[in-house]
Amino acid sequence: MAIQLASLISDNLKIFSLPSIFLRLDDAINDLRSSVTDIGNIISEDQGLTVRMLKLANSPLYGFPSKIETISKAVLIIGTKQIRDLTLATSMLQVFKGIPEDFITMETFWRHSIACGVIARIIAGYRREPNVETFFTAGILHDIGRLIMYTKMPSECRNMFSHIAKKPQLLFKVERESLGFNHTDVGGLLLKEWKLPKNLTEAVAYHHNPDKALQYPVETATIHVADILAHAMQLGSSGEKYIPPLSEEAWAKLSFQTSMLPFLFKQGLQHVDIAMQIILPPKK
Amino acid sequence: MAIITTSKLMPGMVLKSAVNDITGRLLLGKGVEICEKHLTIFKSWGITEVDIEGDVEGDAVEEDIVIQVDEETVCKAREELQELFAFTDLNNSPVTKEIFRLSVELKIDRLSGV
Repeated sequence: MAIQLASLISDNLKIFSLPSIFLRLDDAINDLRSSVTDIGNIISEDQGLTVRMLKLANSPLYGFPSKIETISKAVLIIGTKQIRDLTLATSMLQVFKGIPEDFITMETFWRHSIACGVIARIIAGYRREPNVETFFTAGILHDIGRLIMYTKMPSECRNMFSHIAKKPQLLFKVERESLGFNHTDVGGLLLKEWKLPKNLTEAVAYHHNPDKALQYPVETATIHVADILAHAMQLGSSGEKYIPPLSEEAWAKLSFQTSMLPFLFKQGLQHVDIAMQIILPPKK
Repeated sequence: MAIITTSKLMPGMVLKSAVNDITGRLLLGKGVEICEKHLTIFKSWGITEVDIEGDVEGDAVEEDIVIQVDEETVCKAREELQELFAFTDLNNSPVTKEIFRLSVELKIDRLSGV
C-alpha cells in the first residue's frame, strides 16, 4: 500500500524525461571542438526555445545596451553553460505539460517556481556568483517533486490537503509524517536520475533543511531564502499554504545585511513579471 | 555613529568607516566624501547600508512617514500575512520580521491598487 519513493521515480522516468535538446546541448558544451555556432544551431532547431532565449537575452534581466538579434550572439554574450541551464529551466514546463490541475493550477505552480528562480538569480547576482543561471534553474526546479506526487499519488495528496484544511500545518511536514518522505526527496531523486549536476540536486533536495547540504551550502541556502521570499511576496504557490520557517544559518551563509531585503523585494517583483511573460506567456 | 541605508545616503556625507563589498574587497575608504558616482557604485555592488559621520537629522522622521491608507486595509493586510507567517519565528528572528514588514507593505499596495 505504502508508496515507495524509489519506485515513484523509477516507474515514471519514461513519462518525465529530460528534454533531448538539453542532453545534446550538454554534449556539445562538453565537447571542446564545438563552436558557439554549433551550440546556436542546436537551439535553433527548437523554435519555441529560440524565441524564449532571444526574449530573455533582450529583457531587462540582462540589460544589454544593444539588441541581440541572433541566437549565436546570445550564446556568446550569455555564456554556453548559462544557456544550457536556461534551456533546462525554460523547457521544464513542456516536460510537465498536462498535469491534472486538481490541487493547484499550473499557472500558480510555475509562478511560484519562476519567482523562486528569479529571486535566487538576483541573490546570486549580488553575491557575484559566476553562473547565476544555475540558481535560476534550481529555483524553477525546487518544487518539481510535488508535480510528480500530484500526478502519481493524487489520493494521498488529497488526504494531506484535507488534513491541513482541518488542522493548519506546513505541507512539507505533513508529507514526511504521512508518507515517510517529502517533495524535496522526490525532486532530488528525479534530478539525480536525470544525472543533473550535484549543485542543482542538492539545492532541490535540501531547500527545506539547508544545513544538510554539505557540498553546495550556498546554492541550497539561496533556494531556501528565495523560496521564502517568493511565498512572502505571494507570487504563486506549489501547494504550500504557509511560509516555511527561515533557517538563520542559511541566511547567514549569504552574508547579506537585513537592509538587503527591500532591494530583493523590489527587484524580485519587477523581474518575476518579465520572466513569467517570457517563460509562461498568458494563454490567448 | 550613524548607520544609514544607501537609499538615504546623500552627496556630501562623509564615511565614518570603510565600505567593503560582500567578499570583503574595499570599495571606498574611511573619511571619503560621498558624491553622485559613489551612489551608483554602491547600487551596482549591492551595498545597502553604510556608516557615516555625525548624526543624521530627519532620519527617524523619515521612517515615520506613512502613506495614507485606511486602517481597514492595513488590518486586513496584517491579518492575512500573520496567518501566512503562522509557522515562522516572527518574534525572535529579525530577518523574518523584516520580511513580514515588507510583505505587509506589498499587500497594502496591492489591496489599495497601487
